[in-house]
Amino acid sequence: MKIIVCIKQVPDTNDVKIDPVTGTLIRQGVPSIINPDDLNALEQALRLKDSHKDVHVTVLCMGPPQADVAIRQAYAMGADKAILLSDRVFAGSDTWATATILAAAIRRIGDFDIIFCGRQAIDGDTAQVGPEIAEFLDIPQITYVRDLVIKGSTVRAERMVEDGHMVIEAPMPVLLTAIKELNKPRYPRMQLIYKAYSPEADIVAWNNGDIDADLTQIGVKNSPTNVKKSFVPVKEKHCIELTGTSRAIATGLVDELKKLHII
Amino acid sequence: MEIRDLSSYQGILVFGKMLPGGPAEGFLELLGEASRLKAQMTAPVRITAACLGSSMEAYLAPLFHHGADHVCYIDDSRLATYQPHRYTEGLFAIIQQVKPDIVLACASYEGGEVASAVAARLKTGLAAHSVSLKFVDGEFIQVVPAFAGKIYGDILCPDTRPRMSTIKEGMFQKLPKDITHTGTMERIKLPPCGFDERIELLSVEDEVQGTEKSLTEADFVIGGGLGIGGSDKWRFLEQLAEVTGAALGCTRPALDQHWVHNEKSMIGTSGVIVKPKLYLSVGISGAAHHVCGVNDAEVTIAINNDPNATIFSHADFGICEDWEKIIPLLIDKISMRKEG
Repeated sequence: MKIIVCIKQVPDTNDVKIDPVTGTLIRQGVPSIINPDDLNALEQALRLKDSHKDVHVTVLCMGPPQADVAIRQAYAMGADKAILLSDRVFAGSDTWATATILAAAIRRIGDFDIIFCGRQAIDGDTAQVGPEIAEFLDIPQITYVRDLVIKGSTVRAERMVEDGHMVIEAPMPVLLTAIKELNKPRYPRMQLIYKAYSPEADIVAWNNGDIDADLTQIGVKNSPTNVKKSFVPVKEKHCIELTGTSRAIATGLVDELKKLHII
Repeated sequence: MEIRDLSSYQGILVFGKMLPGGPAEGFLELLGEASRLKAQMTAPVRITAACLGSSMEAYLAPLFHHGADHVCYIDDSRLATYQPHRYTEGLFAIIQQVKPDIVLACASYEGGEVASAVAARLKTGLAAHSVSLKFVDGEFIQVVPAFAGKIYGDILCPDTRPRMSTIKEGMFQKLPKDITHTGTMERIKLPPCGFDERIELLSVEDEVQGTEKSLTEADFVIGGGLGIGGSDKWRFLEQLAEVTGAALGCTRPALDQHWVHNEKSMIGTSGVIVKPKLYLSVGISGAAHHVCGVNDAEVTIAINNDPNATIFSHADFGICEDWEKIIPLLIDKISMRKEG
């Protein structure tokens, strides 16, 4: 079974600071991490590798050269192969163009049974790239997967929907997106970390020459959407501090609840 | 990007969810927003409601009463239960039929994935979780949050149509019901669905625990964060919610601590958006993605023992104290009041 896991390197949202004047991101000093949902996708692929024979896991990551550290981390968690997809012509791609590029890379890899993505990335929270890749590859998709069983050439997945869950069976090849309830990602193994930085690691860098994505469909100029400007939302209120003894404050709260007809 | 004849795409199409008894609240809210956009557009604009489902013809009237001029729908037993490949075919067919300039889709789990697949196929842009839609100097701007609401972006989709947005439930207001407003109906057929013979739906189970519904509808919402400090202490909030009839929600960190087990209790951009009369925030620092989910509360009261907590700049009233000194007293006072 051949599994391709798509991962994205993202700034750790919790540490992201915004320049209030320019409305742009201050990247300096902000740690980059593998997107959390993508780690769940990778973990599940690695569990399948642990429990089934002949499972091969390839990690695919589109990003700037600095994302090299992300694919080596993924390799050190146990992936068999890692590909960093990096090219200036990819820069500024929106979700549509990104999915176009990833689908081209997946076609280039050619042989696959499962494409595994995280549900959404914490930088944009769009949850669009997975479904778009499935559409471009013309394969079934099961998103929001929180449980997964392989039965021969079929996957049986429990997926979340708005009001509950569904159990769905689909034949491979299939695209799945993982949510955090699926598993708890493992840590990289020390031995594999060394290997990830040694020449014997199967880690490669591809550019567009390797995947031949249609140049008229990708990058900032050919993305259907573009960002005109970014800004920091201003929503500050004037806060009145309630002070006094605990009893006085509690009484004040009761009065407020009464005033709003809540009690 | 290929340039298409943009002017052949006209009007606004709204895609929402049909529940067994009628359109979901989020569907009506999007119709309300479509009506506000319509008022900003110079050319005559038709608002189409796109519906997918089974045996729902009798329940379409509210769509007209809340702003739709036209309903284009597919009524087919194969659409009785949500399945992405069928709903994608269905929405794609409706959009091909209507050729709208703008598409607003509900950003539910289902709506988001169907919109993504349809946008991929239409080769057009999709703005995720838009918080505001407007025309500025004739340009259609979709405002979306990034980095969990710390930053917003104005998104344009200049060269392709339709221009698509997903929008979370609770973001916009529905119009007051107007039973005199009517429109036209158009029923089309569900095209063949490619993967039908391959995908099998084995079971569907509801997991509604009441929380989500009450969070979006409650007049009083209590939110608890990491500052609560433990699952045993979380019970105080549950107790306060019980005596006041409040809905209880939480932040991502509280959920990650497993003090709360239902992910749908999470308030924020990636969770539920609430707009109660009163929001009481307890032990919450005020991370941007949480605050974005409570901005529409009429009154916000924050309790946090850290005077520098960001939440205070989003609150009308601030109490800089250990919540444990206040909440148990408050529970007692309200309980006594009820008994007395």
